[in-house]
Formats: sequence, structure tokens, C-alpha cells
Amino acid sequence: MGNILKVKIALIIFSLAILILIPLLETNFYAPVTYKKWQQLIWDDFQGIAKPFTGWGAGISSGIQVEWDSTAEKFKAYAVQDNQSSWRRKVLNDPDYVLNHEQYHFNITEIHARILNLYLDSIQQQGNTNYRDKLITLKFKLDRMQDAYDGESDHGANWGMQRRWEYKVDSMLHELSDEKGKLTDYFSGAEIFFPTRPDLYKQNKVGFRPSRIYSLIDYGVSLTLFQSRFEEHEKFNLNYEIDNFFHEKSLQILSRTSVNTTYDFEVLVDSKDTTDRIVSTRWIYHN
Amino acid sequence: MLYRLSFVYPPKEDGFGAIRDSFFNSFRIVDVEGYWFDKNPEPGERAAVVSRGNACIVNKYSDYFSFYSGPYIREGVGLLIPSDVDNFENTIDQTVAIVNNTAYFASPEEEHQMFFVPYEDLPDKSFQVNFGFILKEDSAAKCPPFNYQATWIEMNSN
Repeated sequence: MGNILKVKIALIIFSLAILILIPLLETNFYAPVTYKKWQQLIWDDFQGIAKPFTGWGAGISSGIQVEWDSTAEKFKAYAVQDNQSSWRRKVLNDPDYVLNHEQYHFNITEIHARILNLYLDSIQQQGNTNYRDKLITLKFKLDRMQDAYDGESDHGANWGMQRRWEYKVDSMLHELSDEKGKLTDYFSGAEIFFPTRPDLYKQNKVGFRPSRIYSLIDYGVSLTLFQSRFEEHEKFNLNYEIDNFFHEKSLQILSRTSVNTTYDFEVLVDSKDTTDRIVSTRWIYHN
Repeated sequence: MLYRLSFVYPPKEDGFGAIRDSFFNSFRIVDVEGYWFDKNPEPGERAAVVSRGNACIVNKYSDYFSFYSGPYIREGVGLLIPSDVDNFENTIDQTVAIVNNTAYFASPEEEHQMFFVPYEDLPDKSFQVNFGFILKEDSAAKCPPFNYQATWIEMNSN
């Protein structure tokens, strides 16, 4: 009697499993896989089945695909995302934040695709097309970077570290772009790295020192390069200029360090604003 | 030149110190003089490059101070002042540099202006350069207003 009951229970479980699997088969297992080349992701790109018992909101599957580009007549690498192996949970607390985290996984893959493209270009110029070993090495590095990203940002749960990774990844992408990441202001001679292109503002009104200001507000921070003409004969006014900046902006100075430098003058000043945000500044005078 | 790098971030968050250091440490100053001299067209290559002479213009201290680079002096070539004055909506008729009461006219560029004075015309001693522009709307006047700013140049005596 006991055995018959066991068989019955087993049959019921089997039937239920079939009933559950049928829609899954219909919606996913036979669903066409699409590989999306690197661009902004949307939630529709996540068609996979959510991992059972996972504590995370989503997961992305991306990789590097090498194709023959018949127009350019060379092999080219692309970062691609697999829609059926990428998944999300139906209910998410902050879907935009989670999607952004996944986007940066895709961006990390794009970094490695660009590195492979540099390699492909160099070997193809020499008539070589054997990229397999390089691809294997890059795949290993890619996986390590993806793990480090998830580990340090705690899968995005550590907001500050998530932002730091976004800065790092954007910086690498910018460095591997045509612009090479560096910004040179040919009026001031300043060269500096911004992770993405900053906005440029000009101050040309009489009564203010002519200045050129690059500003980028992103990653939960604000990055600014302010440049103004400051002539040799005004040099004695530098400390006043610096003090005045903090006074006008109601910033409370926390520390001030003079730097032994190759420039004519350099000082680092940390302060905080009225909302307790830290305002770090590096002042350099050089003629 | 004064440079200020600012980095504003929320307190008590991991990761931002590393971003600040990366941003601050990426800064350096490069020599841009060669860039501007390479960009400056040879006299004669530009439509109305440096015509010189006495001009009837009315000095009008500009309410628009441009950020300029230099001034640069290259021996045998001349004085060059690149300025970030935009020829906004094509409003500038001519750019003018005045040295020793001689005016050097040039047709305006689109994105920035290049003030140029040939080397042979530069004084041996220190001198002032007034540089600026005449607007199209003023150009029909007999003595149009010259919107200018000035810089003082110390010549090396050796």
C-alpha cells in the first residue's frame, strides 16, 4: 500500500513538472537566441528564466564574438549579449539601478572586445589572423574583471563602489575610443583625463577673470577643471584668490597642504560644503 | 595660468577617494605653442590675412574678455595670440591687433581668433598689444568701434 502511494505521489509530481516545463519550453527553451551587439540595454533584452533561489535581481550573459567584416576586409570583435541567458526577476526594488549594474557588465565585455580589436588590427597588418590564443587570454581576464566588479561592488549593493567601477569602466572605454580619453585645452595647455566628455563653459564677462571650465557631473560626484589667466604680477594674490573661493562658496576648510612640485605653486585643499559633501581641490599656478 | 581641479563627493562612501586621486593625478601641463603656430595660416593663405596700416577706429574697451593663449613670439615668424572669441553667428567683420600704432587686420575664423603680427614689425623693447574685433554691424561706420583687450609683452633683450 505504501509503495502504491509513493508511485502515485511520484506520478503527480512528474505531471506537475511537465505542466510547468511546457510553458517554459514554449517561452524560453525554444525561443530564438539573439545576440545584441554592444549598446544600451533594456529589460526586453533579458528573456531568460530567473535563476531559482538567487538573491540577485538580474544576471547578464555577454561575450566576445569575432566576425569577418567584408567591407573593411578584416576580422572584427564585438561584445554581444545573449538575451536568453540573461534574466531578471519580475519584481525589482530599483529596476533602473539594477539595469545599470548589468549594463556595466556589458561595458566590461566591450572593453575586452576593443582590446581584441587592437590586437586583430596589429596582427592582420602583418598578414596573420590567428587570434585564438589572445581570445582565450582575454576571456580569462574578462571573467576576472567581471568577478571583481561584482565582488567589490557587492553586485551593485555598495553604491560608492558601484560608482567607482562605473568611473573605471567608462575611463577604460574612453581610453580605448578614438578620443583616447585625454582632453587637451590648447588655450591653457592643460591636459587631463575625464571618463566621458565634459561640458565646457566660458567666462568672458568683464569683472570676472576670463576662464574656461570643464565640468562633468556623474558617478555621484562632480569633476571640474577650472582655468583662468593669472599673470605673473598677480602671483602675490594667489592665497587671497584661494581663500576667497572657499569664503564665497561657504566652504569649511578641513585641511590645506602645500605640495613640493615642479609647478610654480601647488596646494591641496579639502573642505566640506553646507550639505557635508567633501570638496577636494588641487590648485596649480604655472606660467 | 591658474588651474583648479575640483572633486565633490559624498562623505562616508567607499571608492570616491580612488576616483579623486585618479582625476587629480591625470593632470599635466603641455606645451601648446607648436600647436598654434602649426595652425596659424601662413600670411597670404587666408583671405584677408594681415593687412596692415593706419586705421580710423574708436577704442572701445570690450565688455567681452576672451581667454587667450600665449602670447607667443617665434623668432623670424612673429607674434601670435590665439583667443577663444567665437565668431558667434558670424558677427565679427575683422579681427585687429595693434602694435606701435599699426593695426593688423585679419578675417575672422569660425571657432577662435588668431591675432598675428609679423616678426619684423615687433618692437625690440617691451610693448603693449591691443587685440580684438570690429563687429559687422559697426563696419559701415567711418571709424568703427574696436572692441579690444590688451596685454603687455616683455621682449628678451639678449
